[in-house]
Amino acid sequence: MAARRHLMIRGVALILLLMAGYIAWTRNFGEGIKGVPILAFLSAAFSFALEWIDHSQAELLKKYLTHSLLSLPFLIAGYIVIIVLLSLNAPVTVLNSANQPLPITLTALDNAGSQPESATSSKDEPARFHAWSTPLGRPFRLKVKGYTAKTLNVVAPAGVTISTESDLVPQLMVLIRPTLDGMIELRSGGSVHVYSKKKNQESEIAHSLQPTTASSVLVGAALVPVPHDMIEDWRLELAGRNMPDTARANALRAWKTPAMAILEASADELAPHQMLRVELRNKANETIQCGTMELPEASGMIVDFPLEPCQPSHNAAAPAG
Amino acid sequence: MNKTLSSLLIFLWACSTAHAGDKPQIEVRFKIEASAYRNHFGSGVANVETRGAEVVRQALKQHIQFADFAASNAGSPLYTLTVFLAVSDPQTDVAAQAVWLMASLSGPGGASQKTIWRKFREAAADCGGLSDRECTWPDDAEFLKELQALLTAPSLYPNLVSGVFHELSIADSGKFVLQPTNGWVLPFRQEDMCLGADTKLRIVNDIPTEQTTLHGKFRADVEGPYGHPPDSIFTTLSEGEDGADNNKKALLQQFPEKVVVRGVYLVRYQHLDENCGGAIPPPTAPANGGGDQ
Repeated sequence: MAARRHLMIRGVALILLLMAGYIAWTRNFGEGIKGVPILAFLSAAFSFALEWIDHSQAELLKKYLTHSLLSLPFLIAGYIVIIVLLSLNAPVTVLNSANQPLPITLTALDNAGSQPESATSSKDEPARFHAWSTPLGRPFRLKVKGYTAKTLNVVAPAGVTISTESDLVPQLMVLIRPTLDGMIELRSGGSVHVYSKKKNQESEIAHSLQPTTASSVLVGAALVPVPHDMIEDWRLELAGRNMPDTARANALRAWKTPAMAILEASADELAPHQMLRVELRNKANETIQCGTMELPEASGMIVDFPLEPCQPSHNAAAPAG
Repeated sequence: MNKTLSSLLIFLWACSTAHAGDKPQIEVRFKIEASAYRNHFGSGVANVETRGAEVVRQALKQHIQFADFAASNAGSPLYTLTVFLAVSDPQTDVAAQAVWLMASLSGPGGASQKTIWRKFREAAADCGGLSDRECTWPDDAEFLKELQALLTAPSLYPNLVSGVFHELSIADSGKFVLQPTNGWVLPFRQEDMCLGADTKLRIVNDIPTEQTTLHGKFRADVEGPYGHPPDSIFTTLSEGEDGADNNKKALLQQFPEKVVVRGVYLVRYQHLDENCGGAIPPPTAPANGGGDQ
């Protein structure tokens, strides 16, 4: 009777061991509950198989199990392994809700010579890092393209889950602000193209998505609210222009609700002192408004980038008569 | 005897001058000045302007018959009418203001001031928060269709004539007569020029006197067809252009034979809707109005 009770205790201990292993696995590799039906099926198949084999063979199998999986040395060794693993391994998961895949690096900060680990997070597949840590935690530096770097204290076995949308701050955003005419052109089928200038070479790093709206265009990692101070500056700028109040109000409203232009996957993130050139093109892909700017060192999260008519040859005033 | 002689002279003058002078030739151009529209049409703006000029020319031909409107590549007419798509303040965004059709006539005496003719569109930025379809610049076809639709209204043309064509002489000859009433016989058919009864003219005359030649500008009202068959138009003297010209009315009556018509200008224009472009009636048909002699 006592032997049977011990066997039952060891059986429960084995189940707990397997559950702990399964939870650790899913936490690290994102299997989730998708594996539960498979485990249930395997257990049911094993029980069913025991009923169908000969009594002597069943007894032999039970005896084999009792002396292997349910044996005290195996259980002790299993528990030691799982405790060590859980104590030293911590998952870092980065979720990305945007359509654009984001390159991510994770670097340990407690070791000067540590190499950064890289991964890519997409909407369907979060980035997963398996960091060596302890239950007391270990500092890491997480860098997601377009967002400011974040220092994380990664504690084993829980680890850290980061959402770019809610847990990270965009590094530098550029708000491209066409004139009223330019915004109507965008509404009429125009587009905005952003170029980065490096050593006399230009490459397109972003463009507005179709269909366009009559609005400003925000270039960066994520949509963020426009600061109130910036809107006040625009209000003052518009106050000096000869236009009806309704037109002013509509211009302000269009500027403060920007459309998003995601950086190209191959483009570097926006950084201080980067030279940007922006073109607003008409439906026929001809440039009609433009602007050039060196991004400032520190002027807040959003940089105001107004566009001006760039006086192409066909823009000359029509001669009278 | 005098009356018979006078009638004979007028008949001979009318025969010699009627249809001698053609209608003034006016070249029609269309210019898109509003910067946002030029930008939107881009390199296709010249094409849109050419097609726009043709739309305007067809509309003018339908509503104005006192001149011949030619395409911009048709020879070298004396006058050029340019219709502009423009805004009142070019320094401000086009989207923030109404876009107008404006017109200017250039001729031997220079170009007239650009005159506002008709509103083309309200301010594009005034349209429901920049999200409606109206908050767009029209594409080529839409633009030309819109222009064509705008120019169908007959009420547009009296304003255009009084604002832009007031320095265009539609005839450079005529005969001042005292009978049946003081007025001018002008060498064109009312049906050819399609001038309605409410049309008012300004007739510029030279009045040679013994000492010098005086110039007089007088207003005249369209009376009706003149002659048998009616191959000219009779207009009655209304008043002088100003006080000084009013004083010269007596000279007209004193030396009717010496009065030389130098130009006939439209002050107020009414289109003749009935019989416009009609054939010359047979000689037996009675002439209408004061021109029946």
